[in-house]
Amino acid sequence: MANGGGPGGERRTRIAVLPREIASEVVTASVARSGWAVSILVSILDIPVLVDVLVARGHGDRILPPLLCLIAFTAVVVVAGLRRTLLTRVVHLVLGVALATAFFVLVYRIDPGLDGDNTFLLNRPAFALVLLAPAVARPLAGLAWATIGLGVSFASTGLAAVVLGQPLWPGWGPVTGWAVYASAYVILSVVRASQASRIPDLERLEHETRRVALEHEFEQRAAAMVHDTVLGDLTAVMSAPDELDERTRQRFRADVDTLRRPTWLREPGHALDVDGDDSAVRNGTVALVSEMQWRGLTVEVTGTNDEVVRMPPAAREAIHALLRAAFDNVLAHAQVASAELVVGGAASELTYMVIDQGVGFDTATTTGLPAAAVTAIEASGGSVRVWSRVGAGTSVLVSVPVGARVPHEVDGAPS
Amino acid sequence: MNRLLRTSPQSLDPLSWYSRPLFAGSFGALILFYGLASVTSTWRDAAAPLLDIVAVALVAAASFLVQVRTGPFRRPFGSLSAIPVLALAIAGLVVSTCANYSATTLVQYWWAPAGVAIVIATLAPHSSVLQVLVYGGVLSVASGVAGGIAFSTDVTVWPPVSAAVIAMGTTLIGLVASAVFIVTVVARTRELFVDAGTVPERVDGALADETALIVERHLLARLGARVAPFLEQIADAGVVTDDDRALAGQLARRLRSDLKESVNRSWLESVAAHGRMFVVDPDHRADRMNSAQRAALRGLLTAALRSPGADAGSLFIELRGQPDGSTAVALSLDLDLPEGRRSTMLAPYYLALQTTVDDLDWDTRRGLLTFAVRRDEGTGSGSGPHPRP
Repeated sequence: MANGGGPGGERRTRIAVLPREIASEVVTASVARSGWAVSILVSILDIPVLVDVLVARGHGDRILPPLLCLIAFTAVVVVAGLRRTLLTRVVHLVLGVALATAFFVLVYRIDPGLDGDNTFLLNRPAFALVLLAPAVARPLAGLAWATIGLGVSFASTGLAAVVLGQPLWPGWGPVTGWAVYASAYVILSVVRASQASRIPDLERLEHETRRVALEHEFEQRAAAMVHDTVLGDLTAVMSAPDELDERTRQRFRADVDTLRRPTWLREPGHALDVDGDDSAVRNGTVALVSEMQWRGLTVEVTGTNDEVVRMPPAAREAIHALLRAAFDNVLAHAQVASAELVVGGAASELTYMVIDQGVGFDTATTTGLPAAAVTAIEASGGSVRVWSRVGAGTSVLVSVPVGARVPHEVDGAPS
Repeated sequence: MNRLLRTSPQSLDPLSWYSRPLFAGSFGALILFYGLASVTSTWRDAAAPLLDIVAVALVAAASFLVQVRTGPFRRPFGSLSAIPVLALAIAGLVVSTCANYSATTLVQYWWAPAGVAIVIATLAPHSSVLQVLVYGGVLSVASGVAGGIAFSTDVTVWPPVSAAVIAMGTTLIGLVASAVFIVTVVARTRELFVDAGTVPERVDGALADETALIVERHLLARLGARVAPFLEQIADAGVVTDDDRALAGQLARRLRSDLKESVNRSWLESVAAHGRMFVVDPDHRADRMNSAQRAALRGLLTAALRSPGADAGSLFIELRGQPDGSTAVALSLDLDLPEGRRSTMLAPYYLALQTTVDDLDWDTRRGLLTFAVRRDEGTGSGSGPHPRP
């Protein structure tokens, strides 16, 4: 089954189900509307029967008055349904009863023998009166209107009986019509009661699900914040020198404060909403420094790295690849146990410089850096430069253009 | 306009037509009552009243068949499904025609056209107006022909044309009533659906505060209790020892593990964490569902797990990417629940889910529910991508 993901195929963000009350009103009003259509059809279908029967009985020359009466009755029903006002409803009731009575009287006077087996022909307008219900909203109101209609129908036949001066049989038609519509309304009423106890409160379900989603979203924000702050701090502690500078100590305190006063959780659009890939630049660098520490290379990180920046994922991966290659080269070839990572840059670019005081090499033969990463940096508008001289150490400078910068707040914010 | 003519009330608002046996079954019962009452009242005038009772049973069976074929877990009731229903109604009409041939019963007391009209009404909620025009057209013509044949032998009361019009007219009434009903329901419901369901529920401040508090008290407090004192101590001392480095390493490892566990969880896995549910969703495709899909699926899952008698067993849900970019979802309900009770419990949620996803299908025999989430459907809950430590 392909139902298009929802009624009408629109892109929906909520469960598109009408509230039970509204849905019940729609169905009940539609049943009443179908009754209106049936009352028109019943009147129209009586026309060929009228003509056929009167002609067959030799009254072809007297057809016109009852025929006009039937047409007028049909017109009244049509207008009452199209223009649903109090006035048309009253006109429908008064004129409808009058015309139904007149029709009965006219046909009866043409051929009194039609009362009895042919009552079906005589009572069609009276049958149509049973279905005079307006646009009702509740099934029980529909039932009440059908019952009123049945009473009006009987009143019409009673009036005809008074006019003709003899008792008349209203026929089974009006009662059958009432029974069918009354049954429909009763069934709707029972279904409505049944649904009230069985259909779940979808609005509440959506609200609860929204809360679960929000909790999930906040957990993700919190995790991202923890990742960006204290996890980075712990990693920094792992590779920190014996004495911490004042700046690092302040950062630790600010990060702990951030964790303890998480007002940022409720604030959409905060720096945390920055794409996770961006914050990963800084965290990835810290992790790389930590890894080098374990492998025997002490890396001193200096410069400014207090901003979360936006950059393409390819550039981020290329930076990591280049820094890793640069550190690997120091470990493998520079014959020193320490290096410096300087992070900085202007408003529109971010720079990383890896500096060692090792043996150096001849850059004319190789740079020792992965060509793919260099190409990726250059493709993003950045550059990779290597300075080295035998016996005078090596410097690798990677610079990449960045998008929006999100400065970290000093107080109670991620650092 | 085209959609108005081709949409059934049930497909537009399935929950409104989740009436269990009340709707079609009641109409079937009405046919039985009306048919048997008519046959009984005209018994002496009928040619073969016993045969007419068989006809009543056949026409009533048509309505009961609609009931069976429109159960909540059944495939959509289409034109092919209507064929056996129409066949039963026509068979009943033919048998009743035979039973009344040459009878002295008057055509207006013949129950069969009215019975067939009620069958059309039974089909109405599950049919488009075009479909019901075809079904009703066929049955009306059949009624007219049958009435003309069965009641044309005695022309003293009704000439043949009148007999045919009366017989056909009764069925035609069912057709017109059903068609107008369908058009009115579909048009009105579509009007009410404009914008409804496409505007996401706003998150009010109270809900955000309440939820934030939960996260603070659980996740952040748990993580902060381990790490914050240590970092404060380091910051105050300004000195890092080897022991501090070792402890930082351990804390970082545990923290990273904690973060991985909470961040790598999709919303569905968060729901699964509270019950006997196993989720296989390596690509986190659950996060691509929109809020309506999440609410409907969560309702179904929680209803299944909370069903009385479902203490044993579990749910297994797997989400897989498809070549067209959509997500196929398979849900296996390994619950020890009687079929009837399971249907009653889960049907409303199933129907709600039906309004939000594609290709929904429930193999009740295997307890396997499958559906698809189109690539452009899922927008997530509003949360963007998050870093995964």
